[in-house]
Amino acid sequence: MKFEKPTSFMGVPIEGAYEKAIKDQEESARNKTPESKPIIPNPSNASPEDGFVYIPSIGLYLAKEKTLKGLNWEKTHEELANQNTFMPTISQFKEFVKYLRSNPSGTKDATGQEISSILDEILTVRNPWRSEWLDAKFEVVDKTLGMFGGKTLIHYDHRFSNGSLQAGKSEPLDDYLTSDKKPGISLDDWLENANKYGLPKPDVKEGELYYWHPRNGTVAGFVADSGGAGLYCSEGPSVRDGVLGVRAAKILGGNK
Amino acid sequence: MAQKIYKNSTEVTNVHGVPFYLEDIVQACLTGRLNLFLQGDTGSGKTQLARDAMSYFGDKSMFLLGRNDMDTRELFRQINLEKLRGAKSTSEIKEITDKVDSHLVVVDELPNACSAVRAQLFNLFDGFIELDGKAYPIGNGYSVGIATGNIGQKFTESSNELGRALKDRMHVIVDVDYFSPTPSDTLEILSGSTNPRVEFEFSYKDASKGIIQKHHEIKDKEIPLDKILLANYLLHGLDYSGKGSKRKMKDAWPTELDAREQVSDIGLVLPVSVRAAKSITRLSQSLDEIAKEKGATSLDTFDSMMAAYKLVAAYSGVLNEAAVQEKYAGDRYKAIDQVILATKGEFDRNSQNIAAGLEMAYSGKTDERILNKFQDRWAFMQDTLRHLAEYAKTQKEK
Repeated sequence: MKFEKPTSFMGVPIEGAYEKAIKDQEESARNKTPESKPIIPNPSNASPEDGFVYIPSIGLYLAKEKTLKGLNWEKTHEELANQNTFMPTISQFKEFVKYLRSNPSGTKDATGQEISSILDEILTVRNPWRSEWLDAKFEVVDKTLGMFGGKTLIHYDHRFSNGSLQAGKSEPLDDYLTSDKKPGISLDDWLENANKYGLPKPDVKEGELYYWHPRNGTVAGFVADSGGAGLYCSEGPSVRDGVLGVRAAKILGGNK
Repeated sequence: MAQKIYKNSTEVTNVHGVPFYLEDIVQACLTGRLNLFLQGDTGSGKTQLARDAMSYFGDKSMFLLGRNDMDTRELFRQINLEKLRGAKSTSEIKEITDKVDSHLVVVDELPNACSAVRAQLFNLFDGFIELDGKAYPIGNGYSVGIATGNIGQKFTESSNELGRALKDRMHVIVDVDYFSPTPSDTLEILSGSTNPRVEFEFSYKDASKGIIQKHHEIKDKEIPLDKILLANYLLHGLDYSGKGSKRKMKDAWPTELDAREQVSDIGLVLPVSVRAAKSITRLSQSLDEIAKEKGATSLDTFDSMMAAYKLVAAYSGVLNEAAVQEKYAGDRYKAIDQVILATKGEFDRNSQNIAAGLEMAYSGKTDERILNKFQDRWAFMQDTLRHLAEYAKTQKEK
């Protein structure tokens, strides 16, 4: 068998590619902090106009860009707390998407182009895979236990204090879709008629948005790739991925 | 010059900016020596397309009609091999089979033939006849087959005996119903003749020498490394899942995949087989040649490999049938387009690393800093680059 050396691969010249790759790698290593922490902007010091969009219906600012990529769900909460920001709940994220979709030409904090780019990142069915954490953890209570026996609880409004993550609120879920829809549910109907936790109701209209229902021990996120986009309530909290990040949320002036 | 009656200007694919029609795909299969199955509804023109292909070979082609009451004895009689029954020795059989000089075997309605006859027909396509477990070559070194049939959407399922046989022996399967003639084609077809029968009245001007010569050129032509790497991706890259090899998952694929992977190309398609990878590469070489003849000036490896992948893989049983039905309304070509899109993204993102890896390997080195750039679905590149580095070292020593 003969393997003739090519001069290029898919338009990329072979000559010099090796040296460039090593140089880039060394450069990237030099730019990392000693602890190899992800480099993120510090949203708490930024003015609301800097990288955030204000959502009037919920009185919150949500970041235009995802940060803290490569961290698991709990570690993401911890880092966000260090930045005086927090992880948006499903409902807050839903309001964010709804607000952007209803203001395609721009808001006081974001240009039309920025809004289009944010929505493309969240919703467009294309590669690569994108995903962002949302603040909801689910627990199916043992059937034999107390008043919530057999019910699914949603834990949200998490706060990180004294080295541990605590749910601010824990409530039994009702009036929500308890089966997967792949695809799908209607994006418009979800945005308009979700329950108080941001989950689609059982009678949600059919559509192209994927939906994975909550399972015991899972957390929430929003995912999109070339196969579809959807609300993912079945993610393991320990998952980490270089493209899985968070859209930091903040209240003007400080902590929630 | 061969006489063509089949008329269809619906584009099947586009390679290097050149449109390819069904007759071009048939030609690519002939020059690539790839068996072709034309799936389609009755009256869709598939038999005429196959008959047109016969005209390239003059009298060195044969036409057989698949019937459920045909046995192998009748098959041999039809191909003038009835003397085989009386042949006593291996040399006698060889003498008889040597005289079969058909280069192209066309079998209309192949699914109608019983499995024993079908097995012999597939052997004829591959250039031999099997008697008492021994293979005797026919066709003087070049033989290829075209079969037609309408066996519905589920024929590539592994549980189906015919489906398995087709996947094993037909290299390219095209569903002609997806590429129906345009209204202007049918306008011409209808204004030309109202004879609803397949036209058999064509001139026998033998163009077989040209086809066979072209085949040898394609066969002997060096395959660019880009194509080999792409084929390796289809074999190994598409085998990756978070749960390990999809091949090893067997029936657990795709249901046991992580939900995120279920909706990506990982849950949509299985890797191709080695045989399919060879067919894709060969077909891509043929498509390149035809594109050049049609005026293409620059050849894009990815373009022709993916066009070939679409034609070979769509009906080869690699797709997740449930997903094809659910998300693509049963359209396998649309599903494969999605895989191609994902593959394009993968290669775009990794081409810089691959270029670096190739330069490293061709200098005989294996640098872990480069090798470690290839993870998950790209992990196969580590072994590939190590192998190329070894190859480069041996070449230097020579």
